Amino acid sequence: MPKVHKKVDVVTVGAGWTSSIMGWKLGAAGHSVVALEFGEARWTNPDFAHNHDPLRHEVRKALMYDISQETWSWRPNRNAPSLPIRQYGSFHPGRGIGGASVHWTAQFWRFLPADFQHRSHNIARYGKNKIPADMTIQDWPLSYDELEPYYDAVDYDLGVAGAAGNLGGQILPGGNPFEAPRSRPYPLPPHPLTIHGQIFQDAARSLGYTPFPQPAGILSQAYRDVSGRVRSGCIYCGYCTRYGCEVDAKTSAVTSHIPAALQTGNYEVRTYCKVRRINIGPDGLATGLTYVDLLTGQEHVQPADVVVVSGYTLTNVRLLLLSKSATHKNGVGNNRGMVGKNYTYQLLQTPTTTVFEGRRFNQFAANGVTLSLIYDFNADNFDHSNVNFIGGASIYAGAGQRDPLTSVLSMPPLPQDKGGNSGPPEDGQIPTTADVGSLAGRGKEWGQSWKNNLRRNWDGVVGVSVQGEIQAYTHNFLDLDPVYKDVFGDPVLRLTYDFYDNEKNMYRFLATKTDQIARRMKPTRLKTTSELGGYNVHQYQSTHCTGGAIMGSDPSNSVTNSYGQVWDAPNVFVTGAALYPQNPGANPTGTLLALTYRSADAIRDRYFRRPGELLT
Amino acid sequence: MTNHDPEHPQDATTGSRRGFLKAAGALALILSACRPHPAQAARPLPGRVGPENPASPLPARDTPTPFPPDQVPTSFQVFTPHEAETVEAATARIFPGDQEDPGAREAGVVYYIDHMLAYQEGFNEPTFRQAPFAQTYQGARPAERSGVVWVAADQIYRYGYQNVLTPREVYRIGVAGLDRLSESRFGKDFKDLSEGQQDALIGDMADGKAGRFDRNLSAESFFHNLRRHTAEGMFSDPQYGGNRGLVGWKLIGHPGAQRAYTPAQFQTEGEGLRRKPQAFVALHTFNPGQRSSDEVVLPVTGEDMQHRR
Repeated sequence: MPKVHKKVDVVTVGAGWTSSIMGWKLGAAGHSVVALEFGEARWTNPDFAHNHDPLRHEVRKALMYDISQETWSWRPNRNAPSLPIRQYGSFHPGRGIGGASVHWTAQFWRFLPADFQHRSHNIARYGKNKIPADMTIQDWPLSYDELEPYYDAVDYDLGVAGAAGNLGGQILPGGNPFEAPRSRPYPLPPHPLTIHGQIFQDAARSLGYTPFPQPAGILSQAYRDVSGRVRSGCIYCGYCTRYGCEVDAKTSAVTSHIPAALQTGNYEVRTYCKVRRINIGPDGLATGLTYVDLLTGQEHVQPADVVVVSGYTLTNVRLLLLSKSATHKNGVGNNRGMVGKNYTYQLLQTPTTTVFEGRRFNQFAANGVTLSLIYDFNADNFDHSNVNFIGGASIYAGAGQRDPLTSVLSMPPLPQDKGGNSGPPEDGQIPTTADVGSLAGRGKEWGQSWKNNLRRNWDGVVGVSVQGEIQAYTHNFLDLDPVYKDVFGDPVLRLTYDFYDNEKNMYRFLATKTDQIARRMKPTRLKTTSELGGYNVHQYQSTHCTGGAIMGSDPSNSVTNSYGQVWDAPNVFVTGAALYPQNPGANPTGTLLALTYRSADAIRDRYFRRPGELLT
Repeated sequence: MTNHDPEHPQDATTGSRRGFLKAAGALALILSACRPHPAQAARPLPGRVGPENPASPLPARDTPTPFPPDQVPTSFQVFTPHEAETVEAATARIFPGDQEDPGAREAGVVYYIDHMLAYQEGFNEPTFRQAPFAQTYQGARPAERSGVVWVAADQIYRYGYQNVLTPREVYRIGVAGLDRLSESRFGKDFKDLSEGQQDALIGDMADGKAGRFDRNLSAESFFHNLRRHTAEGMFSDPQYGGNRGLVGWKLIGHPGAQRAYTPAQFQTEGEGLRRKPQAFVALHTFNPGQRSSDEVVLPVTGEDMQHRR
């Protein structure tokens, strides 16, 4: 028999960033909030205090989901078999309080106004035929202007670092001229650039582009944040992505919103508690969550007035699908078959690899935001009339925090090797900190030449990379795998996903730009790979899995409204990137925080006063 | 032709400070409702975790990601003496060296690999091991068979690690296969060959010209395993058994575990060569005794926070 707890106002899935925002805002208003976290509690001190261990963190994924217990399966299309993701590759969801916010890179973005009107904007500018029949992109049910006050609050609550490019419509030098108007400048100045970031910036500027520093969720100076504490500025140690920050400089739920939520006295986190089902009553509304204490195996039920589905994107979609009941036979939010639709991703690739023979750029130092990038070819910032795709990507170079373990296996071989064949490994990938998938480093250089190459060039290899949009298609979706199950016997989530023409055409276009900029950087040699291969799960690309429980204007095109409130079960709210109709070129985290601020305010000010659908 | 082949390497609104401090005192209580678990002991399922309830669906298990060993490994737990000599010889050709210019042998890579294989059959990162496993085919897809997932041979790489073998089995089978290959070509065990002969065999393995060691392991795949683990042993922290004397880091100009860099330092080429390389045991403990639930104010490092614009 499950142990049934006393009813609370709100129960959340996990104790990640969006859960803690709910806990903070609703807790402060006197509502009881319980967070059920399947991982452990961990804090900057002492848990991140001695962590310069790349083998354990970057190669062995110490802070990630334990996928020996629960994983995901993947197939490229409906006709191909699915297999489980047996070891980490494509993406890295986090485990423990704070979730993936603890080990993220902290590139911090707002989306652009046109991103929110993605379908109608493209049709208005280029005509209906620009969008193929199988491309299921949609408009968001809210505008940039509606979200801007929340973006602004998030920036100042956390201490975001950057250079404003558009202050209330005025374009400022040094910032991103393409950014949407912001009501205030960034609270902190941008981070300094690495040497190779400076080389990229100079090259891009000389070509007439407008490079600007990466907006960052890492403090560039000490700052008193929402937790009430003064946190340190970054010390550029070089151990950042896939680590917890030892000095609290990298912003996360653990540094900021969890302390703020705990401060209210109304936010309770239960660790090692794995949520298995959303419980549904006879009226079709949620009654709470069923979970298992992972240390005892005991089943528990936490009744609540409101259920917030606030785990990782894929976790949220799976939980909705698993929660079948008499009133929701195919899962919560899925009465019209909308759950799983519009699963998208982010295109993180390195078309051009440069080698600066014998140079030592100190790429092991700094972090993932000490870089410069351009927005000239992102989104609809350039005319798409004469290109065969929509959307775009940012282009950048100059991240630091590069470790030998994630880079020595895929060095571009020395020119004299293999009959004079120069250039990077066959797939065109360069060794970045991101390249730690189970097949990372398919290069096969060995022996004295490998050693010589590493000795001379390890710190002189620089990639010129793109980070961009992926459109939604009828072919790409999420559902439950018919074969593979987790440790409890529940089906794992199946990803049916591949790249299509828009991505391939866009990549080919972008590769001409990365090649152009790279040549201007004047490396000893370079290689550009101009064709995008098929998607694979072995290579780390991005943890920006989005969609699957998307927000929309009405129940015929979406799972939730603009507050993440599920159409079919209005006391269930979904948070996070599962809500995105498609993924714009920028990284998703800044927007999901702003959206959660907006949802929490609406739950507090409107839902709890009069429970029901929040229609406007 | 069908192979059970999971190919490849790697085969296959701001609160007050006072309010915060008050809440911090209650923090441990609030966090422990599910299971008392003091924050300072927060480790991912430390040691062996056995379910107290016999009905638990969870097997007793170790943490999926081991912590570094307390003692640097200097003896073999998994390899037989013959296996150790063979793996050492092979990795020493993949990353050659001598006393003047150390390579895999001098760095102790074979100790790194043995220690790695001692943990959970060699699985040092979380790995999903549920059947069915993939089998590859070329040409027409074979008939459905229970317990088998058929995947086209040219597509299997897209699915990442799908190997039915444990890393420990890979080495057992790989070393035996390497000796058979060596015997058939040169009439001797691999470890007894000249360096030139060893290079010839490794080159064939790397180029996919050495066939299969087993239905589940190609020679090429074994090469990639050796190469990947050689790199891990050369460039991971010496606490794990390899990278003795920090020879891997010194070779490439990586200073290892350093506390911090100022912008002026990382913006000046060659900082890695100016710093004394350091293992993580040499890093002083940061903020000893302090908890992040206390008010922690750390110094801002930027003696020179001016930014290049």
